[in-house]
Amino acid sequence: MDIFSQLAAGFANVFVPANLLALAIGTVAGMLVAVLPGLTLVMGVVLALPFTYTLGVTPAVILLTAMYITGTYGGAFTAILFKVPGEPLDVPLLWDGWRMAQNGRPAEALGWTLFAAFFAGILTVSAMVLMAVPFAKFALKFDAPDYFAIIVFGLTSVVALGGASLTNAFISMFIGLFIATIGVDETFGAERFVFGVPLLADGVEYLTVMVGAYGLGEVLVRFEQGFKTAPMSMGAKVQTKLPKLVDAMRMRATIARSSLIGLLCGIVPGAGATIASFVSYGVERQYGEHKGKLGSGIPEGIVAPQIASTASVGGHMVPLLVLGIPGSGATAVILGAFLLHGVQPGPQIFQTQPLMVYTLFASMFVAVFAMCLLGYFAIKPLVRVLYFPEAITSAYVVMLCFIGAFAARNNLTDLWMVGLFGVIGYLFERFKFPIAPMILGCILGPTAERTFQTTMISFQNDWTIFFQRPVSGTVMLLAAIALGVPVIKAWRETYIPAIRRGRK
Amino acid sequence: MDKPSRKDTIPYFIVLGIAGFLFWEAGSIGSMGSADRAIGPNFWPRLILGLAMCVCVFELVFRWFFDMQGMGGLLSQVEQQVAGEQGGVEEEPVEYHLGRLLTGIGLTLAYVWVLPKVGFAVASLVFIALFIWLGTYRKTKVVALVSVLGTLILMFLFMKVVYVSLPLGTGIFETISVKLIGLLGIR
Repeated sequence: MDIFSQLAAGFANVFVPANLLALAIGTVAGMLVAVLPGLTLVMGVVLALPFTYTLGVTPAVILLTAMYITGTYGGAFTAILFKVPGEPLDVPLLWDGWRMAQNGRPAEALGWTLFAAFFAGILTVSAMVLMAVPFAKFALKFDAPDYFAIIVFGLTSVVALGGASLTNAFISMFIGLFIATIGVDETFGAERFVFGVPLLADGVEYLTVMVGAYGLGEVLVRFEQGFKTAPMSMGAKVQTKLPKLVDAMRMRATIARSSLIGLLCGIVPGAGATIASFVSYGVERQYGEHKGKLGSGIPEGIVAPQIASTASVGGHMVPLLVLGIPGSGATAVILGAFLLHGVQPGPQIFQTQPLMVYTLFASMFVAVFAMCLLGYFAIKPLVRVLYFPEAITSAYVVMLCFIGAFAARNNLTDLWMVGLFGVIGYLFERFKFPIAPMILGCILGPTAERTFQTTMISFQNDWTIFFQRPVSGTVMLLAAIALGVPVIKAWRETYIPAIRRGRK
Repeated sequence: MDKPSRKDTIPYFIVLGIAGFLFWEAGSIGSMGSADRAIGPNFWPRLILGLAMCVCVFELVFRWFFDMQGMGGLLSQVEQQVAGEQGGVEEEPVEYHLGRLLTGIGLTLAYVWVLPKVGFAVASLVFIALFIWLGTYRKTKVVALVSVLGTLILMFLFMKVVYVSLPLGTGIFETISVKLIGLLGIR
């Protein structure tokens, strides 16, 4: 069957009641999570995970993916109306979106956001469908060294591109990779780092790491500060006025630039929606037709970041589905949902479970429509959750963290792990260590080790094999470039002058 | 790059120390990789821990000897540049309250400890109320209502809809939990 007939089958399957219900819940939950203060998109997706345990894999992944795509749009409302970015990716919307609202045109600002989210949503899902299948066919030829190289590239680019501190991101990643080694080793069957503690013998569930570090850790940070989110005042009318097609057409260069930036930032692990949003705004400021007016409340300043952030979602889903490699916190949780249901994403998934994959694709198209309809018609009641006291929301976040971790294995000792990783998550936040590399290291660690060991056994411990094969060699080179460029840049601009000053 | 304080190096010393200990500990992992196979079960963790130690040493050397701190990722540099040029985002100064933090951690760990003994219903009700109260929200009636209703909703949702067998507790608490479950129509 070709892509279009498979997609048609997927669309038919989306409208099965269980899938449609999951989609509706995911869309509303994604919007709420993006709007609610104290809840980040990734945290929201983590908290939704336990509700998917009893669902089939298809509705489970539909729910989480709908949350993910909707979450890139929902935060725009609070950024534009209240100057409170729901997510870090919404920060660039403050500069023109909020300014436009201040200039007396909030409905117009919301209209441009809606247009951008809709356009980018349809574009990113279409691009994902068209890219995924050929990429999967190519990936079927990959061997253990190629997979290892791809994991190395995924991890290094997460560290090298996005991290505010390379060293901290590296340490976070190594901690994650180390956590994955605790327990019984897959290849040799040896116990590692158990220290006689039965709790550690089965290894550390990555779910407890995710729930603890993302959920409980963030709550502890806000608890310490006494939940001081500034009170909201509904100064502006919550109404959306859609832009005219002629006005949108005038912005085609901005739309093309930001779409490309969003898709590229999505495909490269580590450069997610937030980076896409900032980079797109920066590029618009450099090359935009109205670059001089940017920041004064013009539509280009809204469209560029919103298109880029939503467009990054499809890009992120491609490596997740085709290679089983998540490039961000949210896709790591979606991978977790696949694994919890016994499905390993990878190129084979397109042959073994085509209906599930195409149902997911189709559900993302429907989610884009649902998100825009919700944004247009139901945003007024949705933004009312802003008045919900943060202390109450946070108490329930903690409860959901614990229930979620407990429900996975019905094991009370997992709750101690959540507590431990909650404290570690707090320390990470406090000392500015990023959490995402630790989570990715924890999830990808076992595959990295397995492919490394398999390669070493197959090629008589010749580690140069990673650089000799065409695919693994190219990917290793890309990893070296991803890591080398910021290191060399910082070395030349900052470290060498510092060393010279030290000598003097 | 800002000049770092010496105090900021503590996390790197801690990670270095722990990684060093674990690297040494990894030596005692079964040596099945000896003789004909150079790579055994301890090779991968030692590789990771060794690299982690190298990164810590790198950071410490630059912080101690050159008053420099870690370099940022490429795109985050662009992000900071764009934000900086637009005047950034107004952020309120962060206040740290060790006492409040320790109370929060203590309360959370106490919840985990008492959960198997007193059961989900009682432990959660008390935890939610205390957490909201200590989280500086002081409207007593709202706190009471939210904790009671919230506990019942969570019980119903997870026991009846998601089929999670939440802890019932022991002794008198088990009796209370069972009665509550009956009232909610869960069993």
